[in-house]
Amino acid sequence: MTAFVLWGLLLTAALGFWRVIVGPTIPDRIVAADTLATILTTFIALLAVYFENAVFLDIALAFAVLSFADVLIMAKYFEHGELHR
Amino acid sequence: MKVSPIKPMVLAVALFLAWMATTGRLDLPFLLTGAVIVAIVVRITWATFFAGAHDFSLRGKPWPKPCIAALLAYPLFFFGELLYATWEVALIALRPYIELNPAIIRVDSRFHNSTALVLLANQITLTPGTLTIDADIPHQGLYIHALDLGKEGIDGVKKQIHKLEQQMEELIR
Amino acid sequence: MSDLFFGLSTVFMVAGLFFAFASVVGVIRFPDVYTRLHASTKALSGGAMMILAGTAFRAAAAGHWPAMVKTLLIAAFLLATNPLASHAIARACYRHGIVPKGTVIDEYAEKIRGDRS
Repeated sequence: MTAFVLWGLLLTAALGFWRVIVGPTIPDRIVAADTLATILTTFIALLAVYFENAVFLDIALAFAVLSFADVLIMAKYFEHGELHR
Repeated sequence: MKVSPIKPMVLAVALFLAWMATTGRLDLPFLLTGAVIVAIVVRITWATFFAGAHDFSLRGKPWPKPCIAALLAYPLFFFGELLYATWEVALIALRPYIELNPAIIRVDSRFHNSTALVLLANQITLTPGTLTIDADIPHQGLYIHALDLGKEGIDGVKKQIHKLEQQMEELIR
Repeated sequence: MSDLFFGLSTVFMVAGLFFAFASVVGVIRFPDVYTRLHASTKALSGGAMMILAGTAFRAAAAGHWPAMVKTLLIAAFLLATNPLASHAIARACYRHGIVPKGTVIDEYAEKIRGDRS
């Protein structure tokens, strides 16, 4: 059952990647990338269940922190066109 | 500026709890390492990020009394709203034809405390149909993007948000 | 008891998968950035919460308590940061000058005009 959910999440992420490629404007791509980041965080957390190894949870936590910082920096950069303000 | 020693201690305790949750081990060496790292982090980040960030001053005011029943009921309410929002957006997304009436509305809040205002903004984003775009903190205004205005229009959204505000006020009375 | 947790976790995971799928469909189908943010933030927060709750139940069924605490930590972190990221994106978009499509009322535009002049 876990394998089914894992494959489903992977296919969902692939579907979301369509918006990253096509997205008419840059913020569309940022939104899609944010969506993908959250989906992949849950995907990594589920890998911990699938392999019965708690190390993946640490990876998921680090990935969540990094993707949050990522989106904030992208949004800030997009707002001003430069970072120092 | 004289800083009361309580506030950094609160941060340190929170960080230490986070350390215990992430390492998941309660041996003495791990706890000592955590204590040292927490001390270093608090020392470095305090002056930059936290010293002027919270206007939540308790000096000269009575301690806020948290209402236990409201505190217990709030998570239930919160997760209920979150599930409802998820369900509604999922239904809209899977409809064969999407017809939306989006709008951007300014709602005035009663909260003067900026921390409470930020919490309210977060809460609004996670409730059905509304998303905070910007906060006008000096004038206590929130700019809200509503996904679908529906029949009730602006007043419906405003009523919903004032209900949320009341719910949050009941937490600390 | 552990059988109950096992079944609950399966139900939560499948429901979470459904909501993640719905939110991605929303991101693809909605007309503009702001409505896409609705799909990305709300539906996905609910879906991720459900999948992580399923993971936590599975860890509890296996009797692995630190893993459960860590999963709940990830859930709390996502719950706190997802709305913040969406505020940052929405604000940046509007200030950059991307006009929302088909809005009935726009009270934010007046404020931005007031700030610029």
